[in-house]
Amino acid sequence: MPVSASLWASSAALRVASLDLCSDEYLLLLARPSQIASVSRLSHDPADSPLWRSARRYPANRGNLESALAQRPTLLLTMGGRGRATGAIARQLGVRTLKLAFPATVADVDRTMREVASTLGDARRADGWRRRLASLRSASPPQIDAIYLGGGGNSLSPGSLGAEWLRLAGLAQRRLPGGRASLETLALRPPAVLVRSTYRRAQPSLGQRWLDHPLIRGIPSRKIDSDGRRWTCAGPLMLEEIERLRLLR
Amino acid sequence: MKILIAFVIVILAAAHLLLPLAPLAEARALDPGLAQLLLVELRLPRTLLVLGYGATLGISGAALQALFANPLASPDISGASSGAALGAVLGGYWLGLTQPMALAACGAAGALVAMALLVTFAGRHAGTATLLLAGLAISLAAGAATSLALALAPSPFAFYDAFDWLMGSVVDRSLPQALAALVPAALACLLLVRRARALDLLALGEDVAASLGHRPRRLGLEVILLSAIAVGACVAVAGAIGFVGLVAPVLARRITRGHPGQAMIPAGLIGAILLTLADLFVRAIALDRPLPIGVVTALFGTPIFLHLVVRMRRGVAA
Repeated sequence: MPVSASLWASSAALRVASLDLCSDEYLLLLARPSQIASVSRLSHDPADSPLWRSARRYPANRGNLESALAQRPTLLLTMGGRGRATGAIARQLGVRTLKLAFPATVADVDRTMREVASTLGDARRADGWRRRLASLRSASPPQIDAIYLGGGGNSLSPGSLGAEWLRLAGLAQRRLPGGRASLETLALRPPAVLVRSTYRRAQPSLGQRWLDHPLIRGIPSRKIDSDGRRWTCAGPLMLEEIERLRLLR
Repeated sequence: MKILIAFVIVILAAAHLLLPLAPLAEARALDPGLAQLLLVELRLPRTLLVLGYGATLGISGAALQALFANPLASPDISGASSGAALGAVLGGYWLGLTQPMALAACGAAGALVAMALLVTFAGRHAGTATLLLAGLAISLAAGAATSLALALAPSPFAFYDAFDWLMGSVVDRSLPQALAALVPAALACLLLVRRARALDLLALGEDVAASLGHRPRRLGLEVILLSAIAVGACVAVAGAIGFVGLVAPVLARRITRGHPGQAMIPAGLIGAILLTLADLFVRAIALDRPLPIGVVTALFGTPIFLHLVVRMRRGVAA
């Protein structure tokens, strides 16, 4: 029996292996447990994914086809840039590939939720999430001047997906040169709200040390901590975070 | 001459502290306290660091060149700077140390290990080629080990810090960080300068130095230890910056007519000037992201280094 046929025969039902942290989010939110063959190893890491507890119920792959094959998936879920070879080899092995486009807008995230839910066999599974997003989008709160602040002063461009999420919370990301907040900017023109990313805050790096500079500690902005893991993909996990930020701001 | 150099330093330090003026003027218009805050918390540590680190490189470079009787012995070429970066990275990323003083101690320990290896491999009377090769090997190994330690560190951001550690950066350092680098460095440099006469005598031969009451072996250990402390503390805060420690002593010896020990103070002053100029240059280029200061010192230092090589070649040919 050829390899492809053996893979198909052993898994008549849909079994999905997600190869990227960002596609893991959609799969873990929308799939039934029996549909998940594996998720990327990043999702098992509490420092990288808020879904790590549910992710650890499934095997981890190393983000490549080879490491995902052991669980005999019937569908590969990927997001972002990946060589065309992965899809071609997977096809030869009888495994379909669904390449999700990296979202540029919140509407893209919404569309991807629907796309993944229908691929999994039931478009209605995304309904709850989509209703919450719709209610968030229907009310437009007054916008407050804000700066999202990660390690080393890294921030967001006002046209980015992250900034669009922030606007839904009523926080208007300020335009910064190079998308980076300097200490001088923060001291001279502090924003009304400083949204501080907690991403890997406890692990030493020069960027994290930068956040401890006395000038930042002293600025009069309202400081709100945000779960930085959700901002890595700025995907469906942002919904809960934005609902929280909206209440806090 | 000395007065002229001191005058240049004061002017450069003032320019470094106050330029660009616009943010300070803007802060003053908002609140004079804010301008003072910017000046003390942001500008002052950077100015102190470039002056102090530059002087440290000059003085320790001159001391090492005097000790090894070799114009290439300098903190970067001896491997001391890369060793210090490795020490600071291991302390900060792997042992979880956060106190600037503890990191400075790790930097000093790293520099000391590198220098000990250099003396072990090359010996104290090594020829230029031997010293250069041994130093290069240690420096490359320490640089690679620093990158490895950062790549394997828990935080994925750590790897991107390699550039700062190996090319140097004085951007956004706080006052406690600057002091952690400069207090140990200043003490060590002071003790090095006190050994100027002994190093001058050493240039005349170990017997001459010994006959006048100096102990050459002990002097060698002291110079290596003090240079390691001074350079290590600075590297732990601002990363390894090359070429200043090599070039400043060479220029300084022209002032002191070849006296290697006496060249320490002028080398320190020239080092301070060079690093301040390099940082003014970094800030003058309007980029969204900071340019590593070591890139500038390397770019401007290379022609001087090549000049040195050509002159040495001519010396050999003659």
